[in-house]
Amino acid sequence: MDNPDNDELIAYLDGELDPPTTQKVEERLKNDPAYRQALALHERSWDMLDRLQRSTVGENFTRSTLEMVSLVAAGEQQALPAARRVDWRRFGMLSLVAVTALVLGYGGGRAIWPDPNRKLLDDLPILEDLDLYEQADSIDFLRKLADTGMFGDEAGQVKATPGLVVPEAPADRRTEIARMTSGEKEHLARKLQRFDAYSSDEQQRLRRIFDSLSRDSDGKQLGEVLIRYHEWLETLISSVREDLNDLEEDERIAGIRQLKHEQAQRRDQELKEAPTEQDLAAIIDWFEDFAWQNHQPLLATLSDKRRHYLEDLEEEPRRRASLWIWMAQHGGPGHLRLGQVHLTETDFGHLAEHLSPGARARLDAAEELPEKRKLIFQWAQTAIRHRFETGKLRRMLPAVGASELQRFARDELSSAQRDVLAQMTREKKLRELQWLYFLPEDRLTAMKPEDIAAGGPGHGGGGPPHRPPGKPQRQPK
Amino acid sequence: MGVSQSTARRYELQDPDVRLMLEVRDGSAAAFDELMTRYQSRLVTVLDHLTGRRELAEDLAQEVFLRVYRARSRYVPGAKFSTWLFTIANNVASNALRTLARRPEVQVAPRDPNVSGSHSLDHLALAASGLMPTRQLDKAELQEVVEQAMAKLNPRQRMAVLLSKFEEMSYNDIAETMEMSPQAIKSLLARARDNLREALEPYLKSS
Repeated sequence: MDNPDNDELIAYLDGELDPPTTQKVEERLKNDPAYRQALALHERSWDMLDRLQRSTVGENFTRSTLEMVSLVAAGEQQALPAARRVDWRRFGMLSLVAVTALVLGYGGGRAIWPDPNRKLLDDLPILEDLDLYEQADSIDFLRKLADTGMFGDEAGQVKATPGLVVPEAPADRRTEIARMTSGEKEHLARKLQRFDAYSSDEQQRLRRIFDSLSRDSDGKQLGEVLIRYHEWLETLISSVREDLNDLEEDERIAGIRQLKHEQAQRRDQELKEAPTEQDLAAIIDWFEDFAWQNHQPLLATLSDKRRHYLEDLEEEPRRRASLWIWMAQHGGPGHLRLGQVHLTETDFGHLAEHLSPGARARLDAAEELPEKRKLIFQWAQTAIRHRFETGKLRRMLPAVGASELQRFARDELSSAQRDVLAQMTREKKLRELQWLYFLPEDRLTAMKPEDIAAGGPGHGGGGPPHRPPGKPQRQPK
Repeated sequence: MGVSQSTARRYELQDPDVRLMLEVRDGSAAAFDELMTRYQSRLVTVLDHLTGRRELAEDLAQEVFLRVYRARSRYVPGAKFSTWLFTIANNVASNALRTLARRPEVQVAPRDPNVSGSHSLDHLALAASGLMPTRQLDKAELQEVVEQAMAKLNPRQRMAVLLSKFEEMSYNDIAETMEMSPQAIKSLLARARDNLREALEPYLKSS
């Protein structure tokens, strides 16, 4: 491809073109299959970079860096006249350590400010979900968002679902903190520092939002809207998120509508080259049937407690549980891989009965079994990605209650695994827990913390997030 | 070039990390701790993939934080904090890579396949081509394929890709970080991604 064309195509993928050029590129994409192919290859090779590991640094790195900074600070102080020197030995050693000691040595730790324990207890629910509350400008904004119906189900309704449990009573909150690993406590300490860095007005704003969500009659529904909004924000690249956050409330809602429209357009475009939405649903159902036929041996791979919990569920959630256990064994979260599964012509025949004529013809046109498997795999990946973007993926999960997830995290995960989860946003932690819940015992034990941090094996491919082409047109302020 | 008061004020209002850095300027150790917490892993991630050496990446990241600390008293927000931080990182890394390149016995960036014990790009290409028994490349192999594709880029291309991918920077922010024009970044990224596409195309079917 000519260089100017390539430059333009990459800039289009990155959302960096002005509107007229974007339109020109989109026109060409509609009419030029080779150009579309080039776009798809660039997109997919870019997605492969998700395979690159993201580093996490250990406590040693932080400690040694702070020690080096202390030395620099000490050196600077030596250069000052004696009257202006401060005891910089405290720097970097007391700050983080002091706040961490506050939480680590909870119940016996050194007090830094008046009644610190009370402050931590009172604000614990806000600290746990700080990333979430920071996204909500106000309750009015959440009500406006709820009224648009963009973050409800197909009918625009929002059903209240319980989130992670934060105990009401101070004694229970104390117990909850006491049971945390040192990594979880350290992460809580950092959130507390972040919260304290806010002005008192900002802290009060966050508390007001929490109070409204806890006490107002529509609080639970608004809480669900906030969770879905926050999940959807994760499907955007950070520059687009930042642009959105720059807008005033009404403009932001218009911007959200525009972005969702663009995502829907992209999905429709994909569907023109792929089966219908009904076909994709049929494929997911077919995989679910396949897993359900093997649900007893699949359940047997879990711990006794998890198996008993799932066996007590109604049939429908148990069927979905089988699918997720099977995905855990053969792929990754939202990543259906056929792996060692031996699918026969008979299996494909059963699937074909539920497909549209167009999809059936495409499946029949694939002469060899490997081609058929590949086509089904691609369609399944498309189905999973669409469900993620529309918020439906979460609803595919069988309902493992919040208490059971917390029990699972406490009793079946290692301290190192829990420490990694503690550093995630609430929704990401919940998603990872729901995924880990369905891992067979041996894989759960072997799951390295760095794999959890990176999204676990099998992430990428069909999984979220997906960069939508094009940025929202910035509304004039 | 000086930063106008209105520009500084705008960044202060919009960017919580700028506000933290201003607190560092004013003597807050807690604010410096928080900035380190927020950025240390991100910095090491970018520097690790830029240099191909984890230990060097951590050394360079520490150097970046030291420079941030030393510069605190004269800090005026003329950009997003992340842009400013990664500008320092880019300078630190460029100096280090130049120094290493002058030492002919040292390999820069490409990970030593003998250390990982895994396959060369050619061997993996053979597997992907179907000439070897059909199988899907596993996670570790794919990761290595991507690392080797990245290693084929020159350092500037690699940095631009890492800032775009991991930091999700806009072209303008990358341009500011790398002290180039946005148009130059557009061409640089296009060439880099074309190179990546070429290197990864055989594996797109296997991934």
